[in-house]
This record gives sequence, structure tokens and C-alpha cells, in this order.
Amino acid sequence: MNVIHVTGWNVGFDKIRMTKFLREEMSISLSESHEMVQNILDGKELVLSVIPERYQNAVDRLDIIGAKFYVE
Amino acid sequence: LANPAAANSAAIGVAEVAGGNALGGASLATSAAVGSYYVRLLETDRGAVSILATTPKGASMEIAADMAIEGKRMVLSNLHIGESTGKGSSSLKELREVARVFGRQEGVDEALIKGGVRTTGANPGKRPIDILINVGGKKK
Repeated sequence: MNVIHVTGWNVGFDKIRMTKFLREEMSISLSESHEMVQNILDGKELVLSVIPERYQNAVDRLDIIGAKFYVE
Repeated sequence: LANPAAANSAAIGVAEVAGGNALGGASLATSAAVGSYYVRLLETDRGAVSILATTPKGASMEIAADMAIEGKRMVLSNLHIGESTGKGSSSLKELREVARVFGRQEGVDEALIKGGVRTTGANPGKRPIDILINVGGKKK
């Protein structure tokens, strides 16, 4: 598994697209993903474990969305 | 989970999810149109709502928020507007009209919008001021 730490957001961060990303990739509910986006906006870190097959796609999408992140 | 101590943590790719529309949501819940605004409540989930609105100019607007009904007032907090398509799709005027249409659908007299932290436009990092809208019109 690859680990991605979402540490914040850049100007232009697309909150709706981030909500979609979390739902689609993590199989979580609307309320859960909405809350996670709120947490990111509040400065809390989000840690994602990603299977290798989806890692590059996840990184690319986070980049487009405007998230600040780093990978372990 | 990668780090149990983290405030948020989750696994990507552990489970596949069927594609959905708008916020990845499920079925259409309700819809309403007033004038030439068309507002669809796509999904509700423990207070969170997903809304898709179409304006008279044909532009579309995706909205996510936490929704609560307090008496005859609807409160939409942590409201986020996604990337909109079309001209004039995310102006304050458009948002007010969408809230008015949605409020009528929900049968309330007022809609209070508490926007989420801005990440685009003016003042990124700041919350916009609250907006109180007199919905009026039809009841549910």
C-alpha cells in the first residue's frame, strides 16, 4: 500500500470534486466525505492508504483538485 | 487504515464503487423548478445533501452542504459550490435563486446559507457572511 497524506489545500481547491474523489475511491457515504473535506479545510490531516494500482490515479486527481499532499 | 492516530484516515482501492452522478450519489430524491430554475436534491445522508441546479441560462451548479430544518427555516451550512458550467452559473444572485427554489420545495419560509471556507475567488481561507433568504411562495 502507498500512503498519501493530504495536509491542506491550495487556492482553487475544488471541494465538490474532492468530495467525489473520496466517495468514489473510498466507498464512503456523502456525509462522511463531506465531513472529511470540512476537516481538510479546518487544517486536519487526511491519511489515505492506496493500493499500488490506484496510486498514480489518486495522486493525479489530488493534484488536479488542488490538494496539498505528500506521499510516504 | 494507514494511521489510526490520524484525524482522518481511509483506504483507497480496497473497495470498488459503482460510478454515480454529481457527488457520486445514488438516486434522485426530489426535484423542483420555479421559473426556469431547476433544482434537484440528488441525495441526503445524515444531514448532508447533494444538489444539482440548472439556471435559466442553462448553466449547472453542483452544491454540497449540511442541511437542517429549524421550524420554518432551512439552514444550509458548510455549503460548497463545485465547478459550475456555463455563464453566470455561480454568482450570488444565482445561488440565492437556487436556495429560494429549494426552500420552496422543502416548505420553509426562510433559507439561511452558511457558506463553507472559500478556496477560490475573493478571500480564500475565509468564510463568507451568512445569507438569509425569504423563500416565500408555495409550501410543501
